Amino acid sequence: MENSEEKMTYTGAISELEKIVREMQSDSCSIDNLSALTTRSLKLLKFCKSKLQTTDEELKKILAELEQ
Amino acid sequence: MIQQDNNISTGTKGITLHEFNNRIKRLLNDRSVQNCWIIADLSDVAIRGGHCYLELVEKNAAGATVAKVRGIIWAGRVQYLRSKFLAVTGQDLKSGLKVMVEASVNYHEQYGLSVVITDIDPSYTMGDMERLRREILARLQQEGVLEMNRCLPVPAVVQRIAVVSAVGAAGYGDFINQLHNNSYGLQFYTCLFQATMQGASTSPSIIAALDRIAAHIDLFDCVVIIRGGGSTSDLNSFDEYNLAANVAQFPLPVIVGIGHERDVTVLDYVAAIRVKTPTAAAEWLITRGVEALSRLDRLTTTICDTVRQYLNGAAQQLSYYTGNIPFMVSSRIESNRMRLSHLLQMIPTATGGRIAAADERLNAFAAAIVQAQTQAMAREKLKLKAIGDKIEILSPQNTLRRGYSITTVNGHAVSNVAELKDSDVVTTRLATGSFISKVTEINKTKE
Repeated sequence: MENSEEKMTYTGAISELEKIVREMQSDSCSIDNLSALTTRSLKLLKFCKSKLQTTDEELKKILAELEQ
Repeated sequence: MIQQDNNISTGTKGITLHEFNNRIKRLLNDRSVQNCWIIADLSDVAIRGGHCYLELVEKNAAGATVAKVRGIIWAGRVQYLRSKFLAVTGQDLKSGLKVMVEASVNYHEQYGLSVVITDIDPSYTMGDMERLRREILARLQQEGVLEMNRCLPVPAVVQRIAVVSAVGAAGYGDFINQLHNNSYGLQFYTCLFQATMQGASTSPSIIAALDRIAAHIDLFDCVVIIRGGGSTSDLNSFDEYNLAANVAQFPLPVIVGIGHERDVTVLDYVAAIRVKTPTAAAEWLITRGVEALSRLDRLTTTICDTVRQYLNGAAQQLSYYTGNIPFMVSSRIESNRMRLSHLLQMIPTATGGRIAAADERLNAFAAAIVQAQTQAMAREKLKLKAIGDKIEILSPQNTLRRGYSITTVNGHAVSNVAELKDSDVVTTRLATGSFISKVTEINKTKE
């Protein structure tokens, strides 16, 4: 599992999410580890959504300077 | 003849220039120079007073002009020919295009030689542009770079965009507005790298912009090359080998939106993504983002459904046990009770017979034991009597009675003469008594 939030990328988060879903849907998943998987997946979903919809002010500033 | 020559040389009477030009004009009134289909490059195209003036030029492989003639399309024909040409090629008549035109020689006494153009075959120009494109594409293919940009993986989410365009162009404005005001709350980060998007400097200018982007490559997910609006006539500046080779080998996916509906340039073949207009480029990026959002929504739904299914399953299992355990317990107890009572009922009948049989067997054993014991005792008595008899016969007393004696010395029975020596006092016992004697001679029996 990717634990470092700073190093997390959208692609990495999405592929981990899909892995978690597969794990959740597999026969070997028990209700005992369901809670941990759900918590992790919600965290990843939040990260991905924020990556798409929340402004990265720092990047915006860098690009604005580059454009000048 | 000689006289005539003399007359001319003496200048008796010359002809006017007009007359001379008239003669030329008459000479040119020949079918071989009328309504000919001519292949040439257009140059110096200009509209004046409704008429279209131009030059037809032919150049050799080295680019040097080898033939040239002035041309004119009369006002009444200009509109028709321009529309016809535009409809097929997407371009207006302009310098630099290779064309095939129907032309007739025209000689005017005052204005000299020119050709009057009456028709044009746009498919020739299309073919020529196509040939040029094919040549560029074939060269890129041969160099192994044609599909390099198209083969680059496009990231799942494309948000950081290097834009190559002209700053004031309407197309650029449309692109930026559409992208940043999307209704999905998607965030895009754009950075403009200015370039000239028409005319001869298009190619070097775009290549320079690409070089500037390459210096900050880590900041971007893709490059968008958009041409802001304008006429469709300048597209052949994009059909250029160096530009195509640069785009093909650019390390980020390139999205081109430089043409309109029917225009295709070499860039459209080499870029990772081809769209028709700057607006379409923005739409493509937004759609990509929306797809990413939908994918997240689908994942959310799947995760929620899976968790719900687990919880439902667990709840059902629990309620099953809650409802069934008391019943299962009481039914288990009842079945055990019944089994027990059945077994209890079976005990008397089952054991009765067995006990009686065992009793009989025990009685028989007892009788047999008593009998066997009596017989054994009788046998032992007889055995004892026989032993007693034997003992009686072998007793020393009986032996003495038969005439044998026992000699002892110092209390020990003498069985060997070696135990005796001269003068030993020995006691000899007979059946009826004993006597004492002294050893005077010892004779050892020979063996």
